[in-house]
Amino acid sequence: MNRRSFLRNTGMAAAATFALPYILPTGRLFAATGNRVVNHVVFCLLAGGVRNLESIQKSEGNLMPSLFNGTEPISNDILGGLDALPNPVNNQALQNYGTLFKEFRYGAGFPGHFQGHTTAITGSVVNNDISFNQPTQKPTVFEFYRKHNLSSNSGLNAWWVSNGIGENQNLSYSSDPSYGAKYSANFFSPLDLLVDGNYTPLDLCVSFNQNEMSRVDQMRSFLNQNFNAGVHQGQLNINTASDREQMDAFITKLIKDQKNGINRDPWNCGSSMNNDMYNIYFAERIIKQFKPELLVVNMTDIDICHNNYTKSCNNMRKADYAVGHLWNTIQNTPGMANDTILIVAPEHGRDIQSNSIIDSFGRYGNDHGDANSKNIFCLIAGPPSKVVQNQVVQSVTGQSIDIVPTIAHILGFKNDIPSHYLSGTPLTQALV
Amino acid sequence: MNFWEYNKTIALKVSTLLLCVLLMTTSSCKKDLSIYEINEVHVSNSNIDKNGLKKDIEFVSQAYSDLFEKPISGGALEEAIIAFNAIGDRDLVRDMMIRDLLNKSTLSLPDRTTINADVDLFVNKTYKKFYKRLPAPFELFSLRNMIIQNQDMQAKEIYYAFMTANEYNYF
Repeated sequence: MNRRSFLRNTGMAAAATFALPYILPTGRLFAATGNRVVNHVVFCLLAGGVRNLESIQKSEGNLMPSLFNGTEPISNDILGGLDALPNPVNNQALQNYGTLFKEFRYGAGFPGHFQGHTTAITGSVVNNDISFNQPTQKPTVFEFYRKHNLSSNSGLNAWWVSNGIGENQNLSYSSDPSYGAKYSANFFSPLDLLVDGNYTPLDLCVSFNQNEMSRVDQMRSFLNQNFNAGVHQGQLNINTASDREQMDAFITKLIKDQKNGINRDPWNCGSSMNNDMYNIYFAERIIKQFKPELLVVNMTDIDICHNNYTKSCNNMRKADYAVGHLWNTIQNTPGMANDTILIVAPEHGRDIQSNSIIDSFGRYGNDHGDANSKNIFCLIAGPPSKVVQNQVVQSVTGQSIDIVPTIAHILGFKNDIPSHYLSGTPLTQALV
Repeated sequence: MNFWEYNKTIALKVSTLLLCVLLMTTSSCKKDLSIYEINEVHVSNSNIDKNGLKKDIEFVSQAYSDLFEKPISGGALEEAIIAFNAIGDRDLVRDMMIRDLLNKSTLSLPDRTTINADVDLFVNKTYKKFYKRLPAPFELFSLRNMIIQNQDMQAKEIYYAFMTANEYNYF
């Protein structure tokens, strides 16, 4: 080959490298086209219906010192209904590590819990026409992430940690034909599985050694060759075989720890530890084990506000402590520290007027459904080089449907999502 | 109608009403839980008509009854449903449940001596146990060879291979 043809061939090869679309190992043709802000997003749905009045406006004192600045004393008359909690685990409130949108909005649609969860996870406004028993119609943030992401679309990178089964599991993936189960999150409801006894069907799993598995694989391969009616590729196909092995080991370890009492009171909070705190604890176990790029975790114990206002305030404190703990865990997890943005927002607020249910401290409960139920806050915290620190946005800015576009923007795949799916816009005001 | 007859009629009506209320309340308290008991199964020579994918609840009920030759208890089935719902990757749950069932101390498995005594009988029984059919001649031939050549292979491994192969997911 002479010099001229060498240069021509090299030039053509280089041009082809840039011009041709990438075919990813995952089989997708195009990689995500945007730059990433950071490589990890944790979205904490501080759900159960949280009013701005008790949270950012501190009408009962600062019930959430892990999230918000202030030393306002808690109202005397409800003090007797509050459990002892350790001091916040971080030196500063989380609002100092990011941007607080004080007048965030739920947006259109009825402010119900599932509607709020659905809106937050799909980035689409939903109303009462949603089904509680089937996958959501609109694609979820997990599907957007797994379909359009460059680095990895492994299921172990996308988690939906829910503090309960039921309709929440239908937010792992949608029925949208362009997305669907193969881009699902790994749904996990630890509080249901790890309650003593519920893990019984999984707690004695025999493990086969390499030789045994090799023989099993050989026989199974033969059996599969001879079954012509169909090939069962997995009902959902969420995880690859190797990812499933890791999941298997993780679940097995959690069950073992549960049996050995290791999961009991892991934060030394004694009887104050509630379901929300446990759910965050198990989300932290996932963070430490898998360092996921996208994890959504929720809390709902505050919803007791319908019939016990004081207990709801108590649960707000616990949720606040748990979010602080979550942030601390992220900052102490190599691979996620300084490379993670944490987004915290309620799914909706609560009514301005009380209902008629009075608790033992003489306080009336609050339902949700009126215009005030759409007033919430949103906190975006992250590394100083990526997130504007200690910024408070006082004006009405942002709504729930903006959270999914914000996550997509942060993880660099916003531009790859067909525009008709998302009507919200990224909350770039929070980003450097 | 005299006083006693009138009272009797009223008492009858009241007791009927109470019975209805009782029936309604007790029946409405119970969860609808399908338990798949062991039925007579037609043994086929072919897998060609298998095209119904088992639901999770059917899968675990069938797996239990295939291994223990009795129906799964309501409590165990309820726990299994919770496990399926708590973990999104249901294929993983199925696999773990099979390995859990295969590890139960109450499970009686044929040892290697029994298998070796009549390998063809063991293969035929295993096909009938899990696939509700007899093996085709070439399947019998191949499985027989695999089992004879792998003398370390135990029934637990063979059952695991059968229960995690594609055919076991179908009716």
